[in-house]
Amino acid sequence: MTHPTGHITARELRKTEIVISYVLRYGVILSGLIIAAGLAALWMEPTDVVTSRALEPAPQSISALVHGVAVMDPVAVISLGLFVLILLPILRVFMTVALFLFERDWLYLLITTIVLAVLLSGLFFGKAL
Amino acid sequence: MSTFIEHPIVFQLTLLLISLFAGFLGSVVGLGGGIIIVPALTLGFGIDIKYAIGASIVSVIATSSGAAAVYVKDHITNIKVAMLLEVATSLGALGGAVLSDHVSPSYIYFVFAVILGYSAVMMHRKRHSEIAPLAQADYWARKFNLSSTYPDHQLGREVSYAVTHVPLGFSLMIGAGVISGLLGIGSGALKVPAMDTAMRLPIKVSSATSNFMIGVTACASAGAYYMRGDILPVLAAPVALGVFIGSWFGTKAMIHLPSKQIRTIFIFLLVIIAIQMALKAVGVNIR
Repeated sequence: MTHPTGHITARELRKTEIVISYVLRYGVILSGLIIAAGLAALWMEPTDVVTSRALEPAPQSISALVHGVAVMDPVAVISLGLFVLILLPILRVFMTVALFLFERDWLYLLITTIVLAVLLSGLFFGKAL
Repeated sequence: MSTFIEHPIVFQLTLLLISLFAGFLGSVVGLGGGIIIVPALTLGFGIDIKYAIGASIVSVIATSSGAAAVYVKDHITNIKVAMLLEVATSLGALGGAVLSDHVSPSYIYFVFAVILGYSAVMMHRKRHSEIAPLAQADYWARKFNLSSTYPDHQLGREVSYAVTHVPLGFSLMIGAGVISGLLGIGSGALKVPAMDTAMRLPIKVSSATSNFMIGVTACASAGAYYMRGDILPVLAAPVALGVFIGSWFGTKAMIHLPSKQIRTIFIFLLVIIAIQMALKAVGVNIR
């Protein structure tokens, strides 16, 4: 396969993607462990406490999340695991953006930057939309 | 939600088991768990559909990200096609998440019923015939450098393929994204035909690329659902864990199971759920 100057070869792209997908896989395991730990901690609580928190949404600011995790609040710990999970695809796209920037493939740099912008806008403006 | 309130831990354990089963069955027949999870939570437990969608969309990310390593290693995924089409699916998914907050639940139940019915039909149609590879790529495929090769183990060689109808595929992907964001499912059943029928990618490349894209698509709407407070940790935790563990076992067990019989049972299940969701859309509840 021949490529114009500045374009990534298929092999380079694949090598990077394999690294990225391993990051994803271990990230999922990490988030699964955090969620399981939070769930186990929740089950230690009295039943009426669990009941009262059944309809509680995940903390929506980073500071509330960090504070909750710092005091080992079960719902906050679960939320951290869920948040890590949501961040994983963002991390993948971010790493791909960096790859295309490094390789000076402007077309795919633009494409991946648009995807990254859409994902981040879901997180930042999700509440307002 | 009475069961939830009275016996939360029993409820969570039940949910974990159901999610495990949904994830297992979904991965064996090649669909995600979301298409079963959302009906199970809404029809079975009477949970508000927006919270069911919030719990489901998180499990979609878990399944797709966990599988990503396997698919890329096979060298079948077309990464450039995936990235280009992710522009369409992520925009669509964000739109779907926004839309879900502004339309009535009965509309969402109706769309869900249609997608379930469609998936049942697609699974029923046997897809033995491989579409012959194209010789000529279209203007956009050349511009975006999309044509590639993949190793075909049956033929024992690298098969090269061209890509066509890129604008059509892109448009269909916007629709797949909207459905994913609106219903909290991976919508692989819509992504695969957009690639193999419209863009003429080989079927193996289409399914691998679709699986690869699902996590990014789900992420766009999951971010919005999270920030809107529609993801309830107490509900989402057992669902995410159950689906993830179930689909992991499903992938491992797939080759040892009588897939034909499982598909038949699954199609039957989809039709029943579709009818129940349709009835729910018009306000009738049947358990």
